[in-house]
Amino acid sequence: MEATSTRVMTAEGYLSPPPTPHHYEGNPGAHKHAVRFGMWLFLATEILLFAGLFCGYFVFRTDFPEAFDQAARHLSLALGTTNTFLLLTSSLTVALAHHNAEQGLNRNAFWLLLVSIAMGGGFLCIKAVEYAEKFREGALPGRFFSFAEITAPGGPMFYVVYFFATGLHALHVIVGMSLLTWVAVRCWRKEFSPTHYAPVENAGLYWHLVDLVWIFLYPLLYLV
Amino acid sequence: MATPHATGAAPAPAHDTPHPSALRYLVVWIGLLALTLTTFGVSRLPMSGQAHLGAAIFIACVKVFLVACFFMHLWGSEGTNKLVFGVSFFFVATMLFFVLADVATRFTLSNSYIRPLPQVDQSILKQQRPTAPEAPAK
Repeated sequence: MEATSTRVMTAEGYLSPPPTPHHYEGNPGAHKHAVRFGMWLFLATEILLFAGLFCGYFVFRTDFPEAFDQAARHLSLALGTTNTFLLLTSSLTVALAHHNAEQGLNRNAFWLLLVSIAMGGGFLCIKAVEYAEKFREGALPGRFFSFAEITAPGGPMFYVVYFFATGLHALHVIVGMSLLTWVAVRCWRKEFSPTHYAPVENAGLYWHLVDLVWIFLYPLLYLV
Repeated sequence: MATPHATGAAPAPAHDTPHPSALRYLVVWIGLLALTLTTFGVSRLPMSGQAHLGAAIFIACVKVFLVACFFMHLWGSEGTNKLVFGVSFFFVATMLFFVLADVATRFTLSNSYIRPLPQVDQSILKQQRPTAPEAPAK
């Protein structure tokens, strides 16, 4: 936060941008490119992390098609669809927050981020309701499985995939909400301007990735 | 400290790409909601499991394309970012393809779950396993 303390409020109503790292002096375009490129590289590792879980999904689905069919019918389609709507809409508000932040409209960005965080919270609450239902029914992974309505072999394997995939995703939602909170606070302090908005952009990219993963999880778990 | 080739360079513009209008995000969002409804509708159609899976993955890919291009600004972004996203997507697709090609075409007994064998006529078993051990023929 040392850099922030040396920044002053400009006439346009936002803090002056922090100094560019010395190795990018005279070339702010390259600095912006590097920051964005670094984030994309990180997102690539995240995509490959989730790919392992998707791979597991397809393997077990091939082995136990009947159990996956039965188990998918026991998931609440209404809750899953509501969650899809929440995440897609939060992605829109995050994109709009980025749009506002890069024009120096920090207060607009703050409120949009707040709405996004609230929708992330809503997503987690709905997920908690779904998990509670699964725990009550005994629709659980491995030896904890005691759900009588799934008669085909392989039922516990569906719930291994279900809990690991949605659990890891929910963890990402929590991290994403924390990042959005962090940039929202900085928006409130009017830190962002047309020349400095990378934190909003990168936190936004992370949030969109959370959305991307859900775009695949929703049809695979709830629909097919 | 500026590098020799950067000293003479003209200062880069503050914005490498022009601002897309907020309306564009709204249109993309409506498109995403429409695709969500489509994927839901398609899943209710009477089709085979494979066709359902294919349709769901195809629609999900279109949605990912929209989010990546417009919400994540990959459209009009630096080529390196597109390369990173494209390559990671390609690697995921490659991994899934070969794993699926393997498990979907295996001989049943080599799968992790052995499907129930057809019912065996019990009388054959009785003939093969007599109740009392018999002396060898010779």
